[in-house]
Amino acid sequence: MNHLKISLLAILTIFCLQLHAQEVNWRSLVPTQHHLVSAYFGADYDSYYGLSYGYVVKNGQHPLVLGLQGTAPFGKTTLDDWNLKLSAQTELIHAGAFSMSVQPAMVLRRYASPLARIYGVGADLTLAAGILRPKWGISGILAYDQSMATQVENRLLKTYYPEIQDGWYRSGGGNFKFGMRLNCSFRAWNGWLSLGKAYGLDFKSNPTLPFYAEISVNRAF
Amino acid sequence: MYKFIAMLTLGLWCVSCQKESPSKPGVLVPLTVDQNPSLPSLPINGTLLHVEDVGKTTDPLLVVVHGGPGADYRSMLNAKDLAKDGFHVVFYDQRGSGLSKREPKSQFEGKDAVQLFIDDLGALIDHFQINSSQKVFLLGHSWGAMLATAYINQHPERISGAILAEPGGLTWPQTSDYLSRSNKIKFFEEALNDAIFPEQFFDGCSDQEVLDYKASFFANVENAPGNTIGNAGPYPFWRNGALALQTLIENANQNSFDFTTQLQKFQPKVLFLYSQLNTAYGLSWAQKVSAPYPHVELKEVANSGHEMLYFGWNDFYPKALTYLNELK
Repeated sequence: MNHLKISLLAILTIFCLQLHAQEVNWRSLVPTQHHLVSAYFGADYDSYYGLSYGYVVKNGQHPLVLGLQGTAPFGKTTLDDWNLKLSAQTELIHAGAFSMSVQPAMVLRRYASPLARIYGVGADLTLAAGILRPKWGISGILAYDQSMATQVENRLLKTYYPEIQDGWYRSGGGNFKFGMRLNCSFRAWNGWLSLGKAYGLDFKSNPTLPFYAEISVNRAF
Repeated sequence: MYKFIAMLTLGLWCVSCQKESPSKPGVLVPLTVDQNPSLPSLPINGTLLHVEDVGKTTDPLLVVVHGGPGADYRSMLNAKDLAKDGFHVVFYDQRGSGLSKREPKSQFEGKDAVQLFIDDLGALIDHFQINSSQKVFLLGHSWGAMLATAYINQHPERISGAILAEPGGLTWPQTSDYLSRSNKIKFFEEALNDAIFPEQFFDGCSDQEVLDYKASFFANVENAPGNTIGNAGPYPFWRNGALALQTLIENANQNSFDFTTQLQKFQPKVLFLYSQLNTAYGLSWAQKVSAPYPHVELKEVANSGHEMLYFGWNDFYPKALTYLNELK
């Protein structure tokens, strides 16, 4: 059992080492700051709130921030649905005020309702390019989120349709997001506003809520 | 915590293992009549409909028209009771809906898309009516009551009476008004994320099986505790035809409709029912919607919300039977 626990923890640690990046103003980050804590809320598929932590592994040229982001939708039942994102973020190009960064991530999702319980594993890649200054910035965002595998346990749907199959399903697809992000910074505090639109992979099957918006505040220390 | 770690490990392992396609027929939503020949079906007007009938074929015909669009007649099966009372009761899932054959989006897009549904109903009546003296009654619920009205508006001489249960409206502006009250989105409520959060798992796939599975989660909004339309909880369904629902609503929004233009020609009395617990409907809305009919009997179905053939059958049944026996 201990062996199993150690193995599981090792796997988690490996993925935590690819940890997340939250939104980072590379120009306002000072060398003594290694931790970023964010709180945010917004709408993306549904209304949500969340917290994230980022660890600044390396600052300066080719910086790297690893992080963990936990998000849950608003609603009466807490933590029946959630997204957990483990990611890394780096700045690919820094030329004058121009900045381009990339953020690959692993996404885990859970959903539960009287009809079914679903777990999902996916990957997500976000590119941000624009003007980034110490006090403010504006970037264009391009993101792609690919669902890789989904585990379904039907509940009420099974009583309606007993032959329904629980189990693992391969990807139903993915989605693109196009948007923009504004930020302003004051000392160790940063504020972010992201707005954009989401499209299904085939640009036909789009989300019911096709727009996304997020307000986020983070502090570096 | 250990549960989460176990799920994470299992998830990563399963990324590389054999997985089923969510689009495979029958794995997430029931097979339709073209995929499962054991289901009762009827080729009508260029499509294959899921159809069943109960009662003596010589009795007055009662065609049950379900809601949606895109839903099915499963929650209306209580109406089989009326066969014992001397009616030949016919149930059908509309084009592209329930267990009827899926049809391409193009069928629901054109200006004449609703006409296709009206013609299907007409063809179904033609099939089951044994002679012109056999009386034909319609029992429509929600969108089904709207479709029944659309048929009566075009063919008033063919119908001897109708039971209409909470049609949203008989014109598009009226329906749109009702939907804005009955389907009001409460942005921070559990019901909303119960309905749309699952989209993230199957996003960007236009296969109808996947769209139909995702659409089934919208039942969470309609039947959540405290829902506006007064449903006591979930009720059974076979398949929500996502394409039919979404495209017909877009179509109505674009092309509008008015099913009342010739209703003054319809002389039989109509039984118009509204539910006690649907706070978006009520007596005043029932009066407004039913106004174009020359002869209307308005009645409330007690202790039920919108899905009154399922939750309110005990009160619905005697009212429907009294009316039908009067016009039989």
